[in-house]
Amino acid sequence: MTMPDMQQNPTWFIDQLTLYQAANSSPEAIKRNFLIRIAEFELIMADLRNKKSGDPMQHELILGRRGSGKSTLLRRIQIEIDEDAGLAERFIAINLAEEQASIYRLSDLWFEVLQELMTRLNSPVKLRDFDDFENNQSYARYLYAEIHQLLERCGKRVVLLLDNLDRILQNFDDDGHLLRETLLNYNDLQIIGGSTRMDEHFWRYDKPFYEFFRRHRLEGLRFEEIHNLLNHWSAEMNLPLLHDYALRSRGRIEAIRILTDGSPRALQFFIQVLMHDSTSYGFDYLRKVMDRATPLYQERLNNLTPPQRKIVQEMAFWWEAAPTKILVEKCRMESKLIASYLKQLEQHGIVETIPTGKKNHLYRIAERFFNMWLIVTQGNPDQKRRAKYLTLFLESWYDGAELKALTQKHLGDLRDGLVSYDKAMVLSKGLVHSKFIGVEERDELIEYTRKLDKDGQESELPRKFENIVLLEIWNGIFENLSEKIERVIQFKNGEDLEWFLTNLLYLEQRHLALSLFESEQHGKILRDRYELLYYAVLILTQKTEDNLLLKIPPEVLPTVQEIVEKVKEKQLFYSKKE
Amino acid sequence: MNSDWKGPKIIIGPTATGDYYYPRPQIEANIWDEIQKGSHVLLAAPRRVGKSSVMQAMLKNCPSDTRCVFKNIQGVQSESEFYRQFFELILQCLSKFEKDKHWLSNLFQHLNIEEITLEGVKFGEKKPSEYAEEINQILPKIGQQQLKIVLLLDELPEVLNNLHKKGRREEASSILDRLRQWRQSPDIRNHFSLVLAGSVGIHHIVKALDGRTADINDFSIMPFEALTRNEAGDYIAWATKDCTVQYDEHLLSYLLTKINYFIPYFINLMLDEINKAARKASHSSLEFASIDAAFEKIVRNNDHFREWKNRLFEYFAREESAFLNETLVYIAHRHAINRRQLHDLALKHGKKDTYMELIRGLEHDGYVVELEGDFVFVSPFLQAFWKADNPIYDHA
Repeated sequence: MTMPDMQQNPTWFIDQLTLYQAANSSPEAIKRNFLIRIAEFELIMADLRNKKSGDPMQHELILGRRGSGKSTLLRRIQIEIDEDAGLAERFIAINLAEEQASIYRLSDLWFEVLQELMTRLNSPVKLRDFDDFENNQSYARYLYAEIHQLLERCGKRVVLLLDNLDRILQNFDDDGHLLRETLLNYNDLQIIGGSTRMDEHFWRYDKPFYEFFRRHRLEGLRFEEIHNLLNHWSAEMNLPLLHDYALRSRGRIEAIRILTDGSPRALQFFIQVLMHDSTSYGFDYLRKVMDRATPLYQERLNNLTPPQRKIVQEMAFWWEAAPTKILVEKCRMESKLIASYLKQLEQHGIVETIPTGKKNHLYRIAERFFNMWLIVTQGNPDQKRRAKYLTLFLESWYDGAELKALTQKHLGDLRDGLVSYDKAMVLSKGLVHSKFIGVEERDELIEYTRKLDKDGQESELPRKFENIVLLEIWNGIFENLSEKIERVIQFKNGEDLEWFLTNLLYLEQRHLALSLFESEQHGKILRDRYELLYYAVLILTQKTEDNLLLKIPPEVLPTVQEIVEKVKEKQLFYSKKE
Repeated sequence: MNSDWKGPKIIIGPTATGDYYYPRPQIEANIWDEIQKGSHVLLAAPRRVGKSSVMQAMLKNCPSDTRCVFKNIQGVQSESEFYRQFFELILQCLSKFEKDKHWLSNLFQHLNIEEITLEGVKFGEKKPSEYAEEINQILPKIGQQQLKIVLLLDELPEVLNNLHKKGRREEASSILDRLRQWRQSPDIRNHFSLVLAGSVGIHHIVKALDGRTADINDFSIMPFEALTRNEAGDYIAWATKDCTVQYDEHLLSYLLTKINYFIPYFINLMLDEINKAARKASHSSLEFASIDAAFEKIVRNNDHFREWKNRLFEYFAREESAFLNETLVYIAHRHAINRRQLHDLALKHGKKDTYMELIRGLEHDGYVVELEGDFVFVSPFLQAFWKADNPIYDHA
């Protein structure tokens, strides 16, 4: 297989993979391509193999997000039961994948199972009419009795594979009690269900299926699994580039794993990007790859109720883990309501809760790539936040050198007037916040991008590097802080720093400010230029040895005290806001 | 594929029967003693402690003059459906006696019965029209014979609760009335016993239906104790015999300390989680950390326990649930609460007169247990969950 020009056809890999998967749905191909979820598969199969005829059946519930491999696992179990002589002798696997849409009552389920059994066992049964029964439940009981008799006759048990079990049970209502009653009174049917969420049917004490299933959570893929998957695709699709790619680019694979939360389906979209020299194409290219994920994520979004969707979107725009308070404000919904929706969203695997050790937890979108996709596609994108996400994305995607190369290319395009203002703006914003971009490059980016702004509409490009540093501190990001502050001071040449230093104090960085005033390199200049502020810092850090208060010239003392008071007030304000 | 791996002999969720049933001879014997005395028995314990397993196991140990049937009747949705099933269960139970009993064949003939199977009774053209009346007729006949029938009914409280919730209180009440009449009929005494179990506390429901619990006071209440530490050790050895993952003396002791309160369901969750993780890592030997990791995973996937908290706020009035929740938060942080501290909390919540009754409710529903005068969580899982869910407790 030869690789085409990626720029002309940016979704080439995904197209090929889709084609490959569509053409390889035979049992043989499914077995060959079954590389993940092996532990769950083996566990379920081993237990099934060890079952003797009178042993109770273990009902299983496989929990995982869309695209996590539930359906494939169910299909793989089906194939194993069909093909393994020892199992086929004792069990009949029934997978109602296609019929599932028409099942909304227990009688529908038993009807489909019965039809399948009659065909498989070649034992047609003349069924009584629905009209013969006084109600639907009697009909359901009758259908199960027929199933039971067929199974007794052939001496086998059924393994019923039901994807979206939560949706089926959701419609069952009273039938749920009857289903549980039947499963407990008869021992000839085992359910293996897939579900995207831990529905209340499985955990509410007053619901029939409380604690009834053994659960298997399909977690995100581990590094080794991604490695195996890439090598497999490399061999199957003749793509040497992917062979041992994970070992060569461990950092990048880890980044993908974090961004996709290890979701196998989302992973495919990133493989596309791996397939070429990523610095050559810039943001447009990434954007196209992201658009390709739309069917997967749109479906995920469509499955939510409007209020759930609202919360998910606001949470996505916020990007960072958000407390309920923020969501109340953004969604304009009551906190009780928000809390109950958050619980549901967590069950869907869409939102994850981050315990804080305090009363209020934080919440964020579990899959970071889904979060980015929401920001890009779901309108009303607050430009500032968009820039923030882009920075994080670019930094997790490219390493420092690549990011610099990307910046140079973008700068070149800007200089040569090759990009429109709109496009330039988005990428410039992503780049200017990056820690890998130097002050000069940053200012150049801003300058060139501004020049394109004929209408003067944009005012949000950061003007001051120190703003970013402060913003980071406010967000609790302290990485390479002293280095960044050093750059601020050098860039400013020691001038015009009062605002910056005061804000450091507002953000409770008293000792950081003190260290600047006491630094060998800049201390003297700073102390001379910002004398009053220096005194305030000494008071705030209780460095009042040697009768400092007495030494401060009386004419400036009130001003110093004013500064101290103001700092205290602001500190309180910012800490409250947090 | 590692097909030699052998997991523990446990079942999570459905009733443990056959080889998967870990015998509870003492509980079975206690129930049989009550039945021999002519009592009717109520198995009082929350969900997941093994009531249904014990009931099903009893089918195999009937005395020679006795026959039992077990049925989960959770799907019953009306009073008439209940009587139909009850009547059919009596017939099924009778059909287990030797068929040469003359009176029995006469009876089946009289009732126009063609076939009796687990799925039900097949009548000829003339079917019973009023099942409750049929039961009234048949019970005295049984009382005249030298035999005894035992009906083991699972989930009756659930049926009553569902009827109640649907606004069919009258029907639920009638079922209770009829059952009381049949139990107390002198004609049938010592020939018929009812053993009831249910996950929803029947006392709560009967009280909700009739405003009092006198209707079920004649039941002999059979408490369902957890396993002792020794029994739990035996249980684990039994469940993991010949398994790939083995527990030596130290690991077993650590595991038991971690589980602390030995309900088979919680032991099973741990054995399953440990086995899953070991299998995933293809590593059969365990360390203490493997046991810690399994414990934390079970607590983290807290849907097992979230419902316990929700239930507190659903079943009790607001002030009562506030008091009970604070008590549980207190125990979660301090491991136990003594009577003085309990009293102090009760005063804080204005529950001076009712607090012990409320705490006994918690005990009855399986939240806490009294240990040397202090109240502690029944399950360390639940305690860990409660603490994680209420990480701060400021009480001085």
